[in-house]
Amino acid sequence: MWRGVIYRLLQAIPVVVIFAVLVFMLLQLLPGDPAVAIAGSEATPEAIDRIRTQLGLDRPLLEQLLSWFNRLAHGDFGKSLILNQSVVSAVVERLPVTLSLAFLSLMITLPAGISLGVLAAYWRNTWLDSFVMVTALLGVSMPSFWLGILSVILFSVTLGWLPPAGYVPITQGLWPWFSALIQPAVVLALFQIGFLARITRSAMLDVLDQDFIRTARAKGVDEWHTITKHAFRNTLIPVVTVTGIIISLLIGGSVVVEQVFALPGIGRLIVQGILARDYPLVQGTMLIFGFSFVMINVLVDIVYMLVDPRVRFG
Amino acid sequence: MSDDLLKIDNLTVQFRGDAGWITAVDDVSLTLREGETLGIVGESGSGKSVTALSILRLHTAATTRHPTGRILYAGKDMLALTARQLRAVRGREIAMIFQDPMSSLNPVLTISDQISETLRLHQGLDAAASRQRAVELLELVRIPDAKRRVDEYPHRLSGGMRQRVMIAIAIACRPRLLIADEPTTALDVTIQAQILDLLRELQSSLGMSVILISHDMGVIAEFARRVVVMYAGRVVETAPVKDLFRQPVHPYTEGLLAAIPKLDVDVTRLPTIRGSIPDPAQAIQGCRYGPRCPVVLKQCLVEAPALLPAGPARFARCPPRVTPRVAPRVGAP
Amino acid sequence: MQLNPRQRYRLLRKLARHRSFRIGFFIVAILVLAAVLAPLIAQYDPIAMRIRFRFRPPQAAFPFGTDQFGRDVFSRVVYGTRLSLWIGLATALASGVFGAFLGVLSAQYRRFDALLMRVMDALMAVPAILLAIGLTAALGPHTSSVIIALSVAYIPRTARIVRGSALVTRELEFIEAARVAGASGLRIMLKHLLPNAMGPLLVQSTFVFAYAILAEAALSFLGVGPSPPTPSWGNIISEGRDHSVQAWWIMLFPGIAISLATLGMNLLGDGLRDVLDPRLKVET
Repeated sequence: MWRGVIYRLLQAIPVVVIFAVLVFMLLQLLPGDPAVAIAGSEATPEAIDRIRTQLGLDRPLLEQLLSWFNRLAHGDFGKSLILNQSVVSAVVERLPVTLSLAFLSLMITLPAGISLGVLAAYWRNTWLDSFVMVTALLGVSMPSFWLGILSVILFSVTLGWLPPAGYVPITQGLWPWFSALIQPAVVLALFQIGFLARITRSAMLDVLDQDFIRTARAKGVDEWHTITKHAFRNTLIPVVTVTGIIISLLIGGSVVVEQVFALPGIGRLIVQGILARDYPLVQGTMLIFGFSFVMINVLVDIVYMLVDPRVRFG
Repeated sequence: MSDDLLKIDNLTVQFRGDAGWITAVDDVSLTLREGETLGIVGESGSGKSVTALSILRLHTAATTRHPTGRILYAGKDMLALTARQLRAVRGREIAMIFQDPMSSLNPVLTISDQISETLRLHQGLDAAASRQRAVELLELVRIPDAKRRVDEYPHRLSGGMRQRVMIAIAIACRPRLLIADEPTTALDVTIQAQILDLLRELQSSLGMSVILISHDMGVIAEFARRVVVMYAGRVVETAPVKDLFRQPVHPYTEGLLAAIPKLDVDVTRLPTIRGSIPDPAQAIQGCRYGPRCPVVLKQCLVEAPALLPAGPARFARCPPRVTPRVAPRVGAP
Repeated sequence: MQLNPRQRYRLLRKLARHRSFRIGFFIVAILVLAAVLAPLIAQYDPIAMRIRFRFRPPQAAFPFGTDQFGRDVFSRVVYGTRLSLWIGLATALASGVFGAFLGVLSAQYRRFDALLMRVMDALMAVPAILLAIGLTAALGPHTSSVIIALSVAYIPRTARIVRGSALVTRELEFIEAARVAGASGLRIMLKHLLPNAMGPLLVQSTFVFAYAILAEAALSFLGVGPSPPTPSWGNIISEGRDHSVQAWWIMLFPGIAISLATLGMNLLGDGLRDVLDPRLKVET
């Protein structure tokens, strides 16, 4: 098992390196002179020059790349132009918001998505199955920011039940925190629930057709335990593999949802950086996003090894 | 007869297909006495496994129906039991082993988990006692190093070992009836013999009745006392195994017997039955074996022959002929 | 998937009988018609402003109401079909073509494979939408940048799927035979690997079409989508957002159109997957 973990970690290294190169090249993608693009067309030549030297754009490309890696190796992810603050501290400041949102959303997604998928599979080809699947499909078909705005109109403006926007740290009380986040979390979860329910259903259908389910029934195991003990764990195996995708969708979705609900999270930070052409901020945030995501995928694979004994020993 | 352990009367099994219900088993009757070994033989698609799965009602309820028939086990109609009553029979009184030991065990549960489950369910043993019993059962089915094996996952065992585990699960609660559905088909020839020996031994030591389902006449000859031959969802012949081998009545049985390789006869090519089993979705007029039968009579193509007595303790779905049948080429085992 | 006419006929008949495929096909067909016949369906110019008529709620003359510039939302949604479907189609095509090319290439040439797949992993290390935001922002708020950005975001996934399918095909005997017979790498790729990956590729492209429609809307909402005044469903919503409380209709209807189009493509994709590639279970 430990060998598997180490092997998986080693595999992640080239991905991380290549990712860093790609993010570095994002700046070269800008049309024309990157320094002009960042400073804006109305900037003075002095301002442009300052940015050029500040970002090292006047040096040869290879040298820039090497110093880029040198900085990353020392944990320096750059400095934001607009915030007058290092990218790392800006991200750390906003991390609780995004993590709270992602956590709450995941807590809604996992039970809802998995149980809906299991229900639909168990009652396959019945009205319940059709209903769940149509709902799941709607979930992955509706734009989340649109749902978010509609939800604000209904629950915040019309009914006045929930705050329309903003974030309250958990240190100011569980309920204020929860009520500020529940709306965006549900909106964000809907897409993932639809996705997960569809995956779970097909995984469950595969498992229910397996011979060992028939063995369990032939042993006299009741339906509840056949599903929970025999089918469910086997269903989890393919479901665990999509957890990475779910988390990716969650992070991507949070960029949009944070914007709708004015949550000062990392997603909002990155959009802010993009709109203000604060490329060091964008690059740094993307790097942090990417690195964490690669690590999450490694973790997912380790969990996978734990769930499936066949992989564990392989 | 009061000593019938299992009595199937006129059982018909239908599955829902794309275009209506498809009959997989048609008007099948058979009986099994306490302690007896019954073989059911036929090609795949003959309905033998479907019949067996119906005894424990292991078909998907939503897509299966039984328009006619009863399955009486110890006087209870299995088809009329409630779910709870059914579960009390499954695994405790009637146990079943299946064709493919590779897929019949749950890959994410240990051997111990899977054997203990039956014990805890039906005998109320606690964790420690059921684990202890699981080791004993593994020793009983002759798995070497049982104490260590019991905590392993199925994928660590070979096919033959897994089938032994399946047998251990099946006999855990000392069932009165063991249904073995093609238990050796997926295994190597040498392993096949070992598994059959083990089954035979357990049958006599535990006093179980056994229904053995196989497409292999050789396996049936070795194991069963009485044989039911099925073809296209129907019983075509039933007879004591010796009589059946000595003198098959139905041409289909004859064809099956001719297809067994014989060690003492030098053949270059095994005879096979030409054609294939009919599509159950298609209605056939007359005898279902008619299109493949080498000695088909005109009347057979008009009306299906009934299952009629064809000697002591035997029946066949083939009309008595004016000229005596050709002497069988096959000797009894 | 090299099909003879009879197999093709059977596949088509299976599709025609597939319930979700039929519903999806119906929805998509209606939207395509709306895009093509937009000038006939819409009664008003989707761009010209008529301040006199601003913020009219839905009524007989303006079935979807009017926006803050007095433009008919119905006409804008109908015209918006053109841009939104075009972005979906172009993204599906571009990511399909490049994804297939890269996937087949990396299945055929193992050395190339190691590098390419790491690059694909790296591209997939950020959520697709984030990658698209970054690229569109760099390339500027044009329809073409949106298409390029979304294509780049979805190429890795498509390439992986095609590669997986091609790797299976590569092991088949007839490929071995072709190789022994001296077929060139290019020939094997084009004649064998690619045709056999067509099923999964088609299914994946259908889903990319659906995602691209959703993503266009999200990009517009974040301010990096195709810029006004040419209507796309996404920019109609984002323009209506500031007035969403008093004039909910401006953003409600284009949102419904997006959901409908995405739903239609997803249903279509489900049907195709069931018929063409029953093993493929995981999308994205």
